[in-house]
Amino acid sequence: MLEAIRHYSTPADQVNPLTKILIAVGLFLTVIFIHDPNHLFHLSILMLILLALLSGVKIRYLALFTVTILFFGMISSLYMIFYGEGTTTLLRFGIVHITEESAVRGLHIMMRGVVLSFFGALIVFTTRLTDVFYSMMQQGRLKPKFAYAFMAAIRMVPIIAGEYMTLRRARKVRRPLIHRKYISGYKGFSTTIITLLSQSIRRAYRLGIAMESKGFDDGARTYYHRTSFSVLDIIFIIVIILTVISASELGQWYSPFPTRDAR
Amino acid sequence: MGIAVRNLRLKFPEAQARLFTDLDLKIEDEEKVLIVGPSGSGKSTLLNVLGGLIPNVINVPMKADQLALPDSAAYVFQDPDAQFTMPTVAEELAFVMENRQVRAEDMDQQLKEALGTVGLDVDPITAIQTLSGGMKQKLAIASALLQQADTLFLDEPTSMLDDGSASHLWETIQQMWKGRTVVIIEHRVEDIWDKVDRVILMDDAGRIDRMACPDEMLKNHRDALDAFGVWHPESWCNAPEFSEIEAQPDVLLEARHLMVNRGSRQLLTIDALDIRKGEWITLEGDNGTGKTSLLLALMRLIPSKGDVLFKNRKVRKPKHYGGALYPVFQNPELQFITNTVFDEVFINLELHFDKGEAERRAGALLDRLGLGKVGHLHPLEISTGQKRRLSVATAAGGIPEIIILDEPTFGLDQRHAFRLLEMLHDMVKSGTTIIMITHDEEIKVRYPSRRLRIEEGKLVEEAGFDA
Amino acid sequence: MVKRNGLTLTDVLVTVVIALVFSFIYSIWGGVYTALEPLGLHLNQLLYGMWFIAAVVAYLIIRKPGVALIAEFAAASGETIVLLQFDVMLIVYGLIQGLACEIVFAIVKYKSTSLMVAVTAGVAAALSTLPLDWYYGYLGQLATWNLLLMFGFRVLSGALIAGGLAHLLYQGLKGTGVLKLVGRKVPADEGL
Repeated sequence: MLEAIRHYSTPADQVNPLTKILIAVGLFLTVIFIHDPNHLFHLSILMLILLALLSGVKIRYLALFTVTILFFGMISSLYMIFYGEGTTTLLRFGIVHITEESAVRGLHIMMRGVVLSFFGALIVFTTRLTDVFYSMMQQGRLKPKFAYAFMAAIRMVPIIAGEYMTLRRARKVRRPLIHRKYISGYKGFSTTIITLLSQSIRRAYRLGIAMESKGFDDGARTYYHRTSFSVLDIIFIIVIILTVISASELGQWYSPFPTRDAR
Repeated sequence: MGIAVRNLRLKFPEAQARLFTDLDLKIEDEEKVLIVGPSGSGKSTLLNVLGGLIPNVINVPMKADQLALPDSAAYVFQDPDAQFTMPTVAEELAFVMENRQVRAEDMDQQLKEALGTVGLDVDPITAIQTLSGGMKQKLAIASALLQQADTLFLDEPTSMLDDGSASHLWETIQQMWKGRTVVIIEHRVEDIWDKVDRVILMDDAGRIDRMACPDEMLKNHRDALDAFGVWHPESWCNAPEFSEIEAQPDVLLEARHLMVNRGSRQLLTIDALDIRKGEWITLEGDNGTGKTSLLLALMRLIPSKGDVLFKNRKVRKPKHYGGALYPVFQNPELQFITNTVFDEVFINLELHFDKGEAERRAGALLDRLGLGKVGHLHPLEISTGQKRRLSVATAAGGIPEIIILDEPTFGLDQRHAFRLLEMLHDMVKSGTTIIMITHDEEIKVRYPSRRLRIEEGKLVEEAGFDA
Repeated sequence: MVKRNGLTLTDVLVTVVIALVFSFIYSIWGGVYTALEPLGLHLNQLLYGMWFIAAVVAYLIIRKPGVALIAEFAAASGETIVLLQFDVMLIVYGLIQGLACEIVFAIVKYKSTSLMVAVTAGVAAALSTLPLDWYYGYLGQLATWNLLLMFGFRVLSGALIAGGLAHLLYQGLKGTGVLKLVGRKVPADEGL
C-alpha cells in the first residue's frame, strides 16, 4: 500500500496483518497501564525509530507525518494541561490553570496517542488493505460475507468522494437561481447527507445482488491470495515486546520528567 | 433445457397492482433473445426472475405454475460501478473463481484465458477504477465466462458506453455467445437487432405484447414499437425535423487563452472561443479528451488559466453568472436538492415569477417532459430516464441564457429522447444557447448549428459546419 | 425459497457503506472537531455523537442484530480507509459504542424505529466509553467543573446527534424511496 511514498520494502510487509492488529490492541492496553511519563517518553522515541526503519517511507513524508502527529497530539491533550488538578501552579489565566502536575499529565496523554499513532502508521504503510480481510478470513475465521462486504464497500469510497464533489459543484451553480434556504444551514447539510446515503445504499444494494449473482454464498471457498503466519510474526511480536521493556529500562536511566507517576 | 415460465405472478410490496399477472415465456436452449419495452414494463424484473435472483436474492413476492430456470446463469449489469467487488482486475476475476472453489494454482491460467477471450488486454494487476467504461464491461463479461454459465443475462450492458465502445462490446459478446442461451435487455439496439433470433416487445403494464424474429418485427410491427416509444434500427426515420435557426450576432460567452489541466497534465488549450446567442453546439471528442473538464472550466467550477467572459464581463466564480449559465450534469441525481419532483423545478422559478405563475410554469414543464404524474414523488425515487428529464426541466423555464448538457439523451427511450430534442429546439428558437456533449452520431449530424471537437488538446470546428 | 434469516451479504454491505459515508463526511468536516479542541472546554464533545451516528442510522434501516456493531467497526476503520490513518483506539472505542447500541436495540427486540430508541442508543453509546476515557485520559484528575462540562456535552451530543439527527436522516431517507430496497421482510406470497 502507498507504494508511491515508500522507497524500499521491509520485513514488516511480510508480517501477517492479523498479528499487527492484535499487537496494536495489545499496545493500546499496555499504554493505558503505563503511568510513568519517562517510560512513555522513551517508548515514543523507540516507536518513531521502528517506524522509520520498518515502514520504508521516504524521509520527508515521515517528517511531515511526525510533525502532524505531534501537533494533533498536543492539541488533544490541552484540556488536561489547562484544567487538570495540581498544586504547583505554573500559570493562571482566567479559567485556565496550568500546574506542573497537569502539564506532565497532559504530555503523558499526548505521548500515549503518539505511540499508538506511530505504530498505527507502521501498519498502514506496510499492509495491503485487501490482505487484512484475506487474513481475517483465513487465519481469523471471519465469515466471507463480512470480509467481502468490507472490500466491496471500500471500492465505493472514491465514488462517494466523486459524488460529493459533483454535488457541491451543482449547488454552486444553482445557488444564484434559488432561495438561500434550500442549500444553507441544516437543510443544505441534511440534503447533502441524504443524497449521498441514498445513492450509496442503492449502489450497495445493486452490488450485493451482483455479487450473489456471481455465485457468492458465504460458504466454502478457495483463496487467490494466501496469507499465513510465519516466523516473522514471532520475531515482530518479540521486537515490540523488547521495545516496550527497553523503553522502561531507558526511563530509569534517563528521566526527563520529574515524576514517575503522571496521575 | 432452455427456460420456461408459466403463469408468473409477481407483485412489489409497495405497488398497488401486480407487475406480472399471468406471464408465460419460453426460451429455447442456445436461443438469443432481445427484450424491448418502455421503462417500467418490468424487463429487468423479468430478467431477475429468469436467472433466479428473484426470489432467492431479491425479496419480492412471486409465484409461478411452472418455473424451469437455467442451471447456471451469469449477469452483466449496466452500471460498472455497482458490479465489481475487488480493487484489481485479477482479484475481481479471482473472486468469481473462489466462489466456484477453483484451486488457487489454476486461477492465473483461467483468468488469462478469460481476458484473452473478451480481448481485454491489460495487466491483471490493473486497478479496475482506471479502466474505461467499455473495458469494465468486458471485464464483467470475462467474469461471466469464468462462472461457466450456460445462460447469459445482459441488463443494458452498453447503456453507459459511447457508440464506438458499444459496438465493440457487442462484437465481443457475439464472439463468445455460441453454445449459450443469451437474454438481452437493451435500449440501444442498432448493433444487436439483426443478430438475435427473436425480439420480444413488452408493454407498459408488464405483459408480453408480441414477439417475432427481428426482420418481421421491424417489417410488420414497427407501429407497435413506435407506439411504445421503443428504440429500433429505423427509429431515426421518426426523428423530429426542425427548420434551421439563425444564431444571433451577440456574443454571450468568450474564452481567451484558456488552459485546462487534469492533475499536472495539460488537457487542452483554447486560444479563442466565441459562443453566440441562439447557437446549438455539440461538443465531441474521444473519452478522456476533456469534454467535461472544458465545460467545468467554462463554468468556473475547476481551476484553469486564462479568461472567461460573459457578456463582456470577466467571470471568475460560478456565481458571477448569476444563474444565466446552467449545467445539466451526467449524474442528474446529484443536482437535486428538494423533496419532490415539482419543487425541484418550482424553486428555480419562484424568485423570478409570482407564486401562481411559477407554479403554472413548473407544471407545464413537467407535463411537457412526461413528468406530470410523478410531480409529488421524491426526485431520487423516479427512474433514471425520468431523473435525466427532470434535470433538463430544472434547466428550462426561460431563465438561464446558456444551458450546458452532458449526454442529455443517455438512457432515454425513443419517445422521450425525441421530445427532449423538440424542447431543446424550442429553447434555441427563443434565444437560449445550448452546448451539449453527445456521443450520438444521429444527433450530431441532425441538430446542432455548430460542432466543436476536441482533438489533441485543441478545440476544432467540425468541417462543413460554419455557424 | 431459501430462508434468509440473520444478516445477508446485502445487509452487511449496506451497513458498511452507510458507515463509510459518515466517515467520509466526518473526514471532510473533521477539521471543525479539531478546531474546537484547543480551548480545552470540550466543545468538541458536542460533535462526539457523529462517531456513532452510523450505528443508529444503519439499525433504523436494517433492524437486525449485529448491524450496530458492524456499523461502528466500519465507521472506526473508516478513518483508516478514507484518511489512511490506523488508530487502534478508535476501533476499540467503536466496538464498545456499537455494543452499547446493540444492547439498547436488543431490549426493543430490533423492532422499534422510534425516536426514543434512537436517542437512548445515542446516550448509551456516549456513556459507554467513559470508563476507558477515565483511565486513558486521567479524567479523575480533572477540575470537577471541567469534567462535568465534558460529561454533559457528550451526553447531549449522543442524544441530539446520534439520536435526533440520526432519526431525522432516517426519515429523510425514507422519503427518497431507497428503503423499499433494503431492510424489509416480505412474505414470499404477499399480495398474490
